Amino acid sequence: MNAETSAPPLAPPPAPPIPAVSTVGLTRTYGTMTALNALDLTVNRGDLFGFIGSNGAGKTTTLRILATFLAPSAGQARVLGHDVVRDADAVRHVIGYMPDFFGVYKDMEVTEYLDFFGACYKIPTAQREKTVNDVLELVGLSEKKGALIGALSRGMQQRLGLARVLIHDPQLLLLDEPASGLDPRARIEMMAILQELQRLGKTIIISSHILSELQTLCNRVAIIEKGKLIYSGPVQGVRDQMASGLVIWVKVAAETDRAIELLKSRSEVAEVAPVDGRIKVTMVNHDIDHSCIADTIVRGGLKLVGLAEDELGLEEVFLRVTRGETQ
Amino acid sequence: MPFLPIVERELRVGARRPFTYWSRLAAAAFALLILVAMYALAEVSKGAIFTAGQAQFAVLKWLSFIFACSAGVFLTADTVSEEKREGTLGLLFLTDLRGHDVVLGKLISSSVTAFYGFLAVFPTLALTMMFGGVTVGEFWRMVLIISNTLFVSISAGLLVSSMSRDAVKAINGALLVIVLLLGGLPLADFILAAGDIMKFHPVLSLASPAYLFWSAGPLLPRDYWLCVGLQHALGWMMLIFCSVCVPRTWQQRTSRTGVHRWNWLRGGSGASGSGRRLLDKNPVLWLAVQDRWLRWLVWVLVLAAVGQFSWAVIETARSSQTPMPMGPARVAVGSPSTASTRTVTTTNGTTTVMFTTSTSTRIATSRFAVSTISWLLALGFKIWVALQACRFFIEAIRSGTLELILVSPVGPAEIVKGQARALLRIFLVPALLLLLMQVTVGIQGILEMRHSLGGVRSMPIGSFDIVFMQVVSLTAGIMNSITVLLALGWFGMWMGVTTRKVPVAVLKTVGFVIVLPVLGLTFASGMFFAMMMAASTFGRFPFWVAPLLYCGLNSAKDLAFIFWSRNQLFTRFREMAAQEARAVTLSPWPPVVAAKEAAIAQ
Ligand SMILES: Nc1ncnc2c1ncn2[C@@H]1O[C@H](COP(=O)(O)OP(=O)(O)OP(=O)(O)O)[C@@H](O)[C@H]1O
Ligand SMILES: [Mg+2]
Repeated sequence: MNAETSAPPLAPPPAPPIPAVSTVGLTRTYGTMTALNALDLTVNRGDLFGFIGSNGAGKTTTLRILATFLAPSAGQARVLGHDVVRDADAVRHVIGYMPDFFGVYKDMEVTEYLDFFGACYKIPTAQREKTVNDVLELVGLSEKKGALIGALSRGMQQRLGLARVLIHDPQLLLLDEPASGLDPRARIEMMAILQELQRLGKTIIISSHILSELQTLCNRVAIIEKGKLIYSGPVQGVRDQMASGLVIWVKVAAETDRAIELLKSRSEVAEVAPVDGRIKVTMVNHDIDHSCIADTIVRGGLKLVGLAEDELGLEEVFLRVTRGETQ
Repeated sequence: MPFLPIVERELRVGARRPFTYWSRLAAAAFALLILVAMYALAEVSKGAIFTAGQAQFAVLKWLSFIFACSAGVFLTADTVSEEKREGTLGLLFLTDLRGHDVVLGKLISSSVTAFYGFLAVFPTLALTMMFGGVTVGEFWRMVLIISNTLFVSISAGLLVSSMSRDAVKAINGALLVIVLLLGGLPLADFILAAGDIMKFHPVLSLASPAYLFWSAGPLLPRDYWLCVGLQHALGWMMLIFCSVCVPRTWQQRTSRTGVHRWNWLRGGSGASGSGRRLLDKNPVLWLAVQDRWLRWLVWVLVLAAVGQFSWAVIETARSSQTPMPMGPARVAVGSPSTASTRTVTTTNGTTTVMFTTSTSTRIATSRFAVSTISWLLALGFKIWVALQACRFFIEAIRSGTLELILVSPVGPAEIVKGQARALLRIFLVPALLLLLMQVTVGIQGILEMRHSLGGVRSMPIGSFDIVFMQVVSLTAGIMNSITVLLALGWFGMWMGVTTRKVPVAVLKTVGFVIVLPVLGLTFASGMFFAMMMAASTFGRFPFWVAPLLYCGLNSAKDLAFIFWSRNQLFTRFREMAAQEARAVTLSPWPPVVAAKEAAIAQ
């Protein structure tokens, strides 16, 4: 901001940055089935972008279109300014795509495999060996250089897949469920690698249906369901937008009914209901200061035994959102 | 019944495949077409070439027999091995299922597919009785023989499949077993009889479907039933052996040490110099020549054939001044039923007889062996080209590698060119060797012909230059041999992109490029002759026109296949690869089955 204001007056205003990915009305049908329905998505450069949806939501379809493997039935998609249909070749040079089900020839050696894809990306021979070593180093597979791919564990194969994606140093990574089938430790390692890559300036789109892992990892997320975009924005925003108001659980020593009466009179409170001897208080929105609740009860001369903010996790939001969509 | 779940699953999967549906329909239509075509031919020629009933029966029974024999290769050879590759076989054995449950399930499901085909053909076969010349007994004997052959062939395919994991090896293994069963057993008997046809006494041959098929007519009822029984027992024996094998061979076999035991056979590593060069030239080319198994097989067999051929040449030259074997090498590369061969045999039939009578039995035998082996090799070579052309894409799509390559800057054109060049690398030199054999024999034949005609260059009948005709048919034959291999390669590649199963892709390739056109052309040239005979323009027509026309049409067909497949590959590759990338059937075929499927699923 400061840089902008202190810039010399004659310099032209900086062009708005090209987003890493932008789609307009992106649609894909399989026969009569609409897998992707008019998706409008924008991913900024440098984002670590979570792409969330339940099984069959259309995540893989979207990523395949962005990777130029599938052609959209309608709509447009641009990757770093290049159209995925008209400019497919330019797109291919700047993306790295890792499919969910990922292809290996089991009787190929790790270095052979990477060497092969290095050649596919036209990396000069002299440079290739070094690149292969570098990416193997980065994903922590250096000791497995000469091993057959079939003899690698699932987690190692996954990391090899990541190494392959990185071989041509793409600016945008499209990773389809890279953490599936990994144990918690391997998952954390994978996340650490991804964060490192983000720090190196890469834009990463990672699809998943496991929200908790994206919650801490990603700075922005999109949720799709049945091919439609439901939410796109910062992680914190999901809750605010998706969940109804904040829920507070209140427990008083006695006179629950009076407590309910008292709480109902507050304007910040949307709804009050007794549940199992406790009182569920739903506030009108999410950011509200809920100190007024304790205040009201204590002023009313009642004994406050417990007060807790409901920890509505992303999981629950996700469940709500998807349930709402299917019904 | 414990194997029923598998049968049910197999039948359901089968019902969902368009192939199952089409094969049935096609078989019936095809048989009927042949019946009608041959009737037309007999009518036009007014019985001069053949009479309807018997000839129709003969052609249909031959086709059914060939189909029954190849069922083991194309229907069952890659069933169990495919489940091994996919890892689904192991899942079956984690349940209560035993080896024989799986084998019987596979047997029933695959024989049902084949049997439907036969059920569609048998009524047509029975129709031939209406045209006369075929007895009811003859008909039923043949039905039994063909069904039994189908059973034996399917069992052999299953047996090979239970012992392999790789599609290419399974298909080749089944080919080998079936060839041994058909030809190997009678050949062994022949060798036991010291190569003298008069002393031939069938012992091992009794177990060979080919022997039974061949001699069904003259065979005594006792011998007939003995043969049928023996072969049936052989089929069951193979199945039992297969049940024993299956549970023992399904485990993964990747070496845990991570080092190849057969590195030299597999191909060079990417790090080596030549590998690097290939990778830089075209990465797909490098990938496609990785598995060298088939390459070795082709080389070994072609070299064996060349060796045997040279031996035969030397042997013939040494034993007398008798001429070289004429027939064998002409068929070595060109298809066995080209008009050049046929018309030539009709015209030089007398010379051929003269040659055989003047040679010893040993040479006759060796000549027979050379011709059979080179015929088989020619057929095998074509199947291998088709196999190698389609298998690379099928595997690359299935493993997801093609998807990864397609999102890299390597485009469809480069991928297709890479595979085409890989095919050239694998087959070019062996194909040239085979062509050389063909040319050698052809030229030798022409020289011999000139020699034996003793300067008389034109035959009394009609007035045409027989030597000139030989030259024409040799040239045309060579051209055919070249174009058909190219067509197999290109069309095979396209089948590889559009088909999901290796044997089906090979079957389609060979069927469309060779079998159907040959049948069609044979019929057409039959018609041509019949009409010429009817119009009695026979002698006035320059004789070399016929082979030239036949081969020209043949090559035109090949060129059409080449251009069409190339066009498809270069324009629709990405679309097809993307659709097939996922093993989701878009819409089951025909729709009736789709509705039923949906009902079952609910
Ligand atoms: N090749 C195909 N043919 C037919 N339908 C398809 C094909 N590929 C995907 N679909 C359908 O498109 C829809 C979206 O599929 P997609 O693979 O994009 O889902 P996803 O979000 O990746 O699901 P998952 O979490 O299970 O990976 C699904 O309903 C699927 O059945
Ligand atoms: Mg998916």
